[in-house]
Amino acid sequence: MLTRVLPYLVPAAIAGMATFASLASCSVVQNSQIGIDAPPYSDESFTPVGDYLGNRCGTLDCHGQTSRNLRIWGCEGMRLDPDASPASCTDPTTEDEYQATYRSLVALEPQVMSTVYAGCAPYGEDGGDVYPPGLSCHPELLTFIRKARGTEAHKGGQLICVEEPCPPGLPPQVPLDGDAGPLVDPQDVCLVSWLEGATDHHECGLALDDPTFPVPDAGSE
Amino acid sequence: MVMRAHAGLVLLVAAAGAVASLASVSCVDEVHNEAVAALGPEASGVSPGPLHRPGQPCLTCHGGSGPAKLQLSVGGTVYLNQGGGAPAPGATVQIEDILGNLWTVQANAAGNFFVALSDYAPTYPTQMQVTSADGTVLDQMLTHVGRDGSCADCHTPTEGPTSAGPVFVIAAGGDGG
Repeated sequence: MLTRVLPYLVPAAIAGMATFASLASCSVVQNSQIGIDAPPYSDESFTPVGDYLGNRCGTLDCHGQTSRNLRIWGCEGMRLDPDASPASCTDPTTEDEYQATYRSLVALEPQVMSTVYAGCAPYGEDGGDVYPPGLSCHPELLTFIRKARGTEAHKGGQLICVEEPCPPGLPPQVPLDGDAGPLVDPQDVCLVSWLEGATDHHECGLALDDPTFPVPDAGSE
Repeated sequence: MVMRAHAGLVLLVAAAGAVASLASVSCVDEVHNEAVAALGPEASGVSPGPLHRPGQPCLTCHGGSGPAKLQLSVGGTVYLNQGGGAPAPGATVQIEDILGNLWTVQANAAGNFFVALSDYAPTYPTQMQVTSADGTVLDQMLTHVGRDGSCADCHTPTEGPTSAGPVFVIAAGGDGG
């Protein structure tokens, strides 16, 4: 009898001990909080970035959907308020929508965001040039950066050009901050400067011009 | 010798059957099938064709995954008034892609418009413009289109926080909206 049952007793005992150990460990972690180190939220630091993301990425067929991992809210796409007008900036993007987009962005890859911010923040703190990113600043570790830059597969295609030649359809690079300096994509400067905690408002403003269609709009506003 | 050959043949047939089974399972797209089924049957008295299913997302069936044979790049429905159900036959839709390639198409009697992929394959993003049949009202879409040629994927029948509502020529205030 024992010889029949014994082969089953050992695995059962092991499974039981494993279950007990996992239950015991649950009581340690269930009350802890998962923190994310990210550029602190403020109107001054994130609104330019939120406007850019809403315009470039937040249309209803792209990241203006709750089915996306990265969700973007704003007047050019998805609204938080059920009574607000979608895709209409007669009701401007609200503070709640900026914050919702911020939370979605920083929580997308919380550990990676913390790592990237730890490496980028010192460059924003010293008040020096925010672009190109410093040696310890690696925004490319974030998936949303890689997808936008075209170095990872992205249904929306490549949106940012950081190295010439730029694919057709992407805006040409421009001198940084209006100087006769290195050619940059304002979109990349906007995002990298935000990750450094020193949002470049000028470049984020330029980024709002994208996408630019060759044939001017013929319609009325 | 004969028995070995027979056993080999049995194994070969079994292997072929297994491969065929795996292939058939991997080719079934349940998400797509459910999306097609969710569109429901054809309206009574309307045959499949250019006038069918106004307001529905055209590329669900015409996007290359079937069941429609004609593959479209862009398709949608234009209504005359915001919030109204009357179509806008003769309205003109202009599409411009990011490379500056333009395409113009007219809405038919049901308000439907569509562009065959073989005629025009836009490089996204695109921007859209609608002009009334008499040319007096011209309206530019507020945002660009990021990647989806099926207008009704976003322009669902009911306006809400995630839908701009059906495409229209004349806004509720009376101007082009």
